[in-house]
Formats: sequence, C-alpha cells, structure tokens
Amino acid sequence: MEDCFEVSLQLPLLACALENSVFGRPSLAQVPSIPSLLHLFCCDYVDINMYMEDQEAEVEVIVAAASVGPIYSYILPGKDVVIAAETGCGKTNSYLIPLIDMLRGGAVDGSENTRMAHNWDELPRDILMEIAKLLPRFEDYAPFSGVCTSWQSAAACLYPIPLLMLAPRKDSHVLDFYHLSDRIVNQVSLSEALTGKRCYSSKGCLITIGHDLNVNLMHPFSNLQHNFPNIKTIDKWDENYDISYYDRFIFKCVLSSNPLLESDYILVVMLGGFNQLVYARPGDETWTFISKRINYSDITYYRGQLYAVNRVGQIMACSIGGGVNHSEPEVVAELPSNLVLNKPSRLYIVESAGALLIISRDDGMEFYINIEKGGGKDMGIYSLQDGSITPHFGDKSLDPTNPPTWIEHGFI
Amino acid sequence: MSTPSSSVFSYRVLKLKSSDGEIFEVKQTVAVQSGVLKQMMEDGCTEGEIPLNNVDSPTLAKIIEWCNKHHDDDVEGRVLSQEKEKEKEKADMKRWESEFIDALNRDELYFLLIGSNYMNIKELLDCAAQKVAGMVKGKTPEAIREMFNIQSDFTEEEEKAIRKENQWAFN
Repeated sequence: MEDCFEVSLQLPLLACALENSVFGRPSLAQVPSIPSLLHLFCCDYVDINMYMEDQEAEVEVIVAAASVGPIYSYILPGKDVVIAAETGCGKTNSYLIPLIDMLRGGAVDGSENTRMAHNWDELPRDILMEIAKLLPRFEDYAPFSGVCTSWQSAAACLYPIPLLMLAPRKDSHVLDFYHLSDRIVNQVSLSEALTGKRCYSSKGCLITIGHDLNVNLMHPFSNLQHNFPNIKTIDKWDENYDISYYDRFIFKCVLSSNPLLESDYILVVMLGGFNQLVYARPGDETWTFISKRINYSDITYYRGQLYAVNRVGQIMACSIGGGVNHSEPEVVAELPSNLVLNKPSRLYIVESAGALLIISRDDGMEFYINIEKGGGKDMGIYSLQDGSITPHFGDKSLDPTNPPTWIEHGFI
Repeated sequence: MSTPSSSVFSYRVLKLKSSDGEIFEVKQTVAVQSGVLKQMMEDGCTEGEIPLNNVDSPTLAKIIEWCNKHHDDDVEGRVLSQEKEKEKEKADMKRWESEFIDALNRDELYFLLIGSNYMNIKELLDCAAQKVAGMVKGKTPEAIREMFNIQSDFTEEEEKAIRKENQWAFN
C-alpha cells in the first residue's frame, strides 16, 4: 500500500485534491502518516451495527488497536466508519481512500486484493498449461476446461492426442493411462476390475464384453455407465457358438456421439466372424441388424453418418442414430480394384484432419489369449528423414485380452 | 591496498527494479536461479538497474525470499553430508516450500505465478502452479470460478454442454 500511495501522489488529480481538501491541507505530520493509515496502521473492529442517533445511521466503529486488518478493508465496501485513533495519524484523510482507489482503477477494492486488478482468466496460456499439467487426477480436466475459454484452450493444448490405456493390472480396479505429451502415467480407479472382460474404446468410453457376453459401456473419467443387450440376443443366435472365445465376438465398437453430451446415442458393433453390423441404444433388449451383408472390414462415424468399408473396397454410408430409423447402407464410393487385390491386406476407414481416408494394411488379426504373458505391441513415430522410429510408450505392457488400447479424448 | 571497487567485485550484486520503482539488491549467485537474469549475466548486460516491469515490489520480495532459501551458499566448501541428512534437508525444504506457498493469499499467488513465469524461475512456478492445481482438484467449474472470481465467457450452448459433461463427474 505504501507504494500505492506514493504512486498516487504523482497523480495530479490526487495532489490537487489533497491541496484543496475541504478538510484543509494535511499537516506536515499527517502527510507521511497517510500511507501508514492505509497499510501499516491496522485496526481492531469493535462493534458492528452501532446506532448513531443524531445521524440516524448504523455505523461500524473501528478503533486503532490490534492488527486485524488495514482500515481500507472497512472503508472501501462503502460502510460508514467511525475511526478513533491518536491525533495526527491521518484519520481525516482516510476519506481519500475511495478516491485513491478510483484513480488507480479499483486497485484497492477492500477485500483481500491490495494491488492491481487480478484476472485469473487472463493468466498467460503457458502458466495455465503448467497448472493443468499438474492437476492431480485426470478427471479434473473437464471441470478445469469448463471454467472459461482461456482455461479451456490451455487444457486442450495439453491433450489433443489420445491416451494410451495400458494393459489392466491383475484383479485391480485401477487403470493406468499413459499421456504421450509428457510421458507420465495417470491412475484412474474404476468401479469394478476389468478382469475377464475384453475392452473396446470409442469417443472416450470403454465398451466391455464379459464371459457371459453381456455388453456394458462406461466412461473411465466419470461415473457414467450404461448397459447394452447381451450379444446372444442377436437374431438367429446359434447355441453352438463357443462362447469361451468371448473376446472374438466383437471386432469393433463405434458410438454415434459422446454419451457424456448426448443421452440419445447408439452403439454400433461390428461382429467378429462374419463381420456383420448390429446396433443398440442404451437399455435396449436386443441388438438390431443394420444390414445382413457380411464381410465388413471397418466402420466409423463421420458427420453424423455411419461409414463402412467392406473387404472388396466398397464404401457405404447410412444414417443411423440420433432418433433416426436406419436405412440400408448405400454404396457411396468404390476403391479401384488394383488397390483391393493386395491380399491379405485389411481396409480401414479413418477420419483425419476432417477428411475420410481408406487405409490398406497388411495385417492379420492377432489374438494373444493363448499366449501366457499376453501381447501388445508399442507404436511409435516414424521419421521420414532418417527412418528411425521413436516409440510412444517404450516400455512393455502386455495382456492376453486387453493389450494397450488408445482412448480418444472424450471432452469437448 | 584494496580499492573500493575490488570489494564490490567480490560479491557481485544485481540491482533489480520492481515495476513500482523499488530497488532490490540480489547476489549474482542467487539471481542465477532466474533464467532471464542468468541469460542477462551471460550476455554481460546487468550493469545498472534491471527493470522488471511485470513484477511489483511485494512480489519481488517474495521471489527473492524464495531464491535466497534455495540458494546453497557454500556448496563447494561443505563436506558431503550423509544420505540420511540429505533426505532430511530435502524434507525440510519441501515443508518450507509448502508453508511459503500456503501463506500467500490468492492475489499474492497470482502475482507470484506471473512473476516467476516472467523471470523464468521454473521451480517457483512449478510450486505455485502445483498449489493452484491442488485448489482446483475435485471442484466444479462453478466452484472454481467463484474461488478465483472468474466470469464465464462461454456461450449459453457451450455452458449447457459443460454442465452436461460435468454432471457425470465423480464426487
């Protein structure tokens, strides 16, 4: 406050006010005491709501004594204040405090803040990012992002990339998420362990299928959970299927929208085996076939439509979800046949930078269930310049049913 | 015979000028914790007063207090302490740091964030940011706004989406 006052004195307006004060010029003894009145001189606060009969006003009486708080904290909120203090300490001049405050642009607003206006929403982005990085739990990101736009964009700078969900620990409720950007592992506690379940991910959610072929959806960073029909409820279920291979009944799951934001969403499942497409809404009794066609190769949601590519390179689209009854997928494009003949490649349909792309990859579906230690291969960044590969995780994380899985960022 | 200037040279100090014009003298060996001052020393441009336009005097005083505490005056001359002693020192420092940070009010914390970022003092910035992260933990966006006196600048629709997203939050 002392410096505040010194600065203020340089302001011609205030200097003038002091000169021509209706109370007369402050005495030489008073001038140096004004800063102390503002800051050093602390006061004890004796009694609220004392009634002054002659002025018919309720006042607060403040007596210079113990160091409870500086006097301006009583004056600035606009309360009527009576000050009792020794002669020459600058009691009278305290009427100038609101003026100083005004001239300094509300610097002294009476509460805790004693200096310039402080705007936590105007913190530089690099500081906000430092804070966001240090959030103790991943589930604190959503509230942090929800504070204001500047906080949101700082948090978004940190995690535009998906998280790598590592192989689950044995019989543990704790899941480990690896953050690529700062190479740390964050733990999230689930309501139940993933043991004996196969996991798929879409829009930040985990979709699980268990030994009993029950399908559930959950969001690892919130308490959202929905039940989906048992896989046995699909039309023409054959009791001869060997359900011990529970991890092969689903090839892929995609959600029409983020379940945290839309309650009316659907889950599309590409079944293993014949690679047919079925869908259900949360709470449905049965799965419904989207089409009886077989040999789909990959599916994705793009601009509110379900897109699929099949083994022969036909790209199909259909409207489904959002309350719309589905139509049979229509072929919207076909890959040139010379691109499809390259067997045993598999076709994938992915969105990248706003465009839909088809990727052909020579791979076979690998199952790790019969490998004792399980499986899971690391990915990395390939350098076109020197051909080197920088691994993402660099460590081993293996599991027979749930090898490390990428989880999309479910937040806005 | 020693000249006055030689005695000055034996403990080189930097003169730091806060945004409100106060001068602080800081030993070079202490000031080196600031990335900005370190760079200036390396470039040999620390003559005279160094204006720190983003740091006011109360904040600068706090920053210097921190740097003095974290400066080990006599690293070379000290006998290497036992592992146990080192652990204890580390724990003492941690305790001092958290007391230092916890004693700040919200404004002081804000200015310390700005100041330590401006002067590039990584450890102090981390410590202050850690404090804010801890304050935010487990709170709703509304509670965070209230705590830091922030006005939401989202549109009504965005606000709705945020509320939806947070309705599933763990408690």
